[in-house]
Amino acid sequence: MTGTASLTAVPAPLRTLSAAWRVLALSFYLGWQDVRMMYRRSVLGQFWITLSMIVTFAAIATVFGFIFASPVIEYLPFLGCGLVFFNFLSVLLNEGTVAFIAAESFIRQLALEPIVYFLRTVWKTVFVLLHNLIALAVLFVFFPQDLSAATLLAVPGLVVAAVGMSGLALALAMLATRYRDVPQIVAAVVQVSFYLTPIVWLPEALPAPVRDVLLAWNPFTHMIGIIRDPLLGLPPSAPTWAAATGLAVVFVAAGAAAYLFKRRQLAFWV
Amino acid sequence: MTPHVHLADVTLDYPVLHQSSRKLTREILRLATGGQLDRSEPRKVTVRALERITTRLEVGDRVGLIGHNGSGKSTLLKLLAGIYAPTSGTVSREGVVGSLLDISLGMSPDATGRENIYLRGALQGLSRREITRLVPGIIEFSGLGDFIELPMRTYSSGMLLRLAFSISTVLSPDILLMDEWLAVGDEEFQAKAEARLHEVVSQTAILVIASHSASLIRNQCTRVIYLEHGRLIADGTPDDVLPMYFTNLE
Repeated sequence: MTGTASLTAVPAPLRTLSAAWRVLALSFYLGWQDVRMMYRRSVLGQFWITLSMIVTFAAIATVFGFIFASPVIEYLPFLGCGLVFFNFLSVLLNEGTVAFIAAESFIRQLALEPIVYFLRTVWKTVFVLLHNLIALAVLFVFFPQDLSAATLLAVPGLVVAAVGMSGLALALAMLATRYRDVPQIVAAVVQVSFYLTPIVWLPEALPAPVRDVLLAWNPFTHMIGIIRDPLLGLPPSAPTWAAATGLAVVFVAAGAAAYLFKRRQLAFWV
Repeated sequence: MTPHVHLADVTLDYPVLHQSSRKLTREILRLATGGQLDRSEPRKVTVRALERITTRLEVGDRVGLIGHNGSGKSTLLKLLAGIYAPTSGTVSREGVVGSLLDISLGMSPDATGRENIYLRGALQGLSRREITRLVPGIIEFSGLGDFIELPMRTYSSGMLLRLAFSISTVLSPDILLMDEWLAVGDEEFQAKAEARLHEVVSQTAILVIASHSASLIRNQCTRVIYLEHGRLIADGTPDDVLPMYFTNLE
């Protein structure tokens, strides 16, 4: 039977905690299943994700090692963190935006709360990140950083960035299901953001006026900053935290509002 | 609470989104120019799929939905399932709704048969523990034997349907929705499936089945709802309503 027990029996599912829990548990399970299936037919399974990230690090270390000769020891952990977390946030945005479109047949056939399919994508992206964190740990073994209690700030940083970007992705997902050119716009903006965000280049390399404008107005800078800075042993920056947290609140509010007001339209839009 | 579905004055408008109304860039351009640039198409097109339907489905009802293609049968099934929300009017529903509309939806070809039981079961709203309890019965009924541990892409289409059917019919919902009768598998399995389906149907409190077959409805239903252009034309016993639609009844 394609209906669901508690979800269809309750008029407004998200009103009850148990229904919300079921939504979370179901999406978690589906997301995990997606990651497992990704590399099912290969020997390494999902650890291909880890391996390909390590290979990327090694390749860049080699090339840049020759170009810059020495600063690789400082540069590579910076680049590694930037790559892993930008990859995480950009996939969250890109795949989150098309989450409902990709779940078209589900939304048309099942009476599940549609946010299940969005959260499924979020969880899947989180699981991929966990595999990439292993690669990052390997990198940190070769390029040890000064770890202290402040390093732990990376955890709340990651949570704020992940939740905030998920909120934005949910708002975009609602828009994208109605207007089908949104995914292309999002993909283009995300791609450009990679070059406008200090990931490959160090912020100090830019002249001050350009840098201030470029960094201040780029959400990725703040979101990545609050995760990367603690990992590199940098002191927490109040403006970065304020910007990231503020953005996260606005994004989540936008996503929640878009979903709650328009979720009943999704079955007609897909 | 006893299972029921009550529809009160339910109207459902379906937005028709054509290519150009799906472009955000175009909407922005339209807003920016105050609609001066583009008046070629109407802003919003909707189709009235259901119009002012009022009916009460109660325990014991065996309802057959009849009507031409596009009369609103499928839309009504999806409304009853809770997939579509009404544009106006109210739907009050009590009880677990189950549908046998697309029984293999969500199954993954790279997962084993056993994993797919969990996957499909989860989508049907079952908890992991419930599924674990039901797994042996499902495997046995499907007759897949050791194939259950192999990836589903190694299955023939018949085996796949047997598995999907076995999972989907493992429990009887309070309210069962069907689009035509379900027939799966080879001759041997078909007989078994037929018996299982009759069992599920007999245990469900409310059955709603859309069909173009007069004999099916005569066999299964005690009540017939006749839709035309989204309107409820007739609601009564098969003897009264079937002749209105099927002009050449035997």
